[in-house]
Amino acid sequence: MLLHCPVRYLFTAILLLAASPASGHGARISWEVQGDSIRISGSFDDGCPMDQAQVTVFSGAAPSEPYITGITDENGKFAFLPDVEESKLWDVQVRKAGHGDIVHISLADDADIRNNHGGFSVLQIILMSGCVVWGFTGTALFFSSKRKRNNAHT
Amino acid sequence: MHIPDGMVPGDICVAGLAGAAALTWFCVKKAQSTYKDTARLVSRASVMAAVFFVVSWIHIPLPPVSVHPVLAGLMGILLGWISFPAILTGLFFQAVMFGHGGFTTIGINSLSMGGAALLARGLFVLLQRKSGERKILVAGFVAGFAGVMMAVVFTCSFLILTLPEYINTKTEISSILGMSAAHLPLALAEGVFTALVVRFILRVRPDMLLVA
Repeated sequence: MLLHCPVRYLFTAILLLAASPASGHGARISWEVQGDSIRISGSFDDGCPMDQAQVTVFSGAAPSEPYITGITDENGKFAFLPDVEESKLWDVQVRKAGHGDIVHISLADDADIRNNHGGFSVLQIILMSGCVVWGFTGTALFFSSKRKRNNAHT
Repeated sequence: MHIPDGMVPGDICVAGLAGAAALTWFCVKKAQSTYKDTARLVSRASVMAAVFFVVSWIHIPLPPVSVHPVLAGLMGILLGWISFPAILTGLFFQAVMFGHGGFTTIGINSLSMGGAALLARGLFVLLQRKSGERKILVAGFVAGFAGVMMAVVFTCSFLILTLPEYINTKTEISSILGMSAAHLPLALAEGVFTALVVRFILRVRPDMLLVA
């Protein structure tokens, strides 16, 4: 059986190593309406700000043409004044070296005035990773036992 | 290494998905015709997909960026043709569970990393045949190193060739190249790791290397 071989120790070591607190390098973009302006804040998963990231703002009235472009400051922040007469829907893309995200902002009266993307806690990440790994391992055990049964029959 | 949603145009994403589907079908057919014990291969692919899924959360800070292990070379060596579907499965769960990568870009990401795994596997087989068993360490190192670097080259090519007109392309290309260079130490480390794993497997379970 596959998991009875010494290689299981290697896999176990890798999985234990990976289970230590860590984060990937995805991007989190949050926004907030402050007065007439919209303030964007970009950071990587590990909390580092997306400084000097390229920001492109699209209006809902002309979603294929950039309304304004710019660059975030050293704290990963950027602010712009939307023309609410033109549209109440705005899309903002923040990207740096192929990493980034797009946020959709509604300035309708009943819409939220901020969106702070909290991400996952370490416990949530461990729990979800455990579920997926358990699924993969179960699949491996299923096929491994099926092979063993077939060998026993023959 | 993972391209998120919204970074590449929609038509490229569709083409990537179509390419990934076609390559998955091809790899499964090749695996069925090449390997006799497919049940063992599927169980091994499941475990390796779990390893691939989890190692992307190992965060290695290499200022000014951070990188994570890919294990494309090791996946290719241990799984052969089935490494591409295994990586595709791992990427799917990474996107579903954590939003790491993207749904629309899952085809492009799998072509980058899965394609690198297949090519690394080809390199491993080629070098091993030329050098014999004693040089298997070198073959493992080259496969591990090349697995990372080819994935980086594929990913960066996708990003640079599809840059939109409205952004400052010079700045973005400079950032992308900086990110690529940061993967060089990771590639060296993965080369050493892959070589050690290959040597270990050669001692305890040489049949796992699937060299045919």
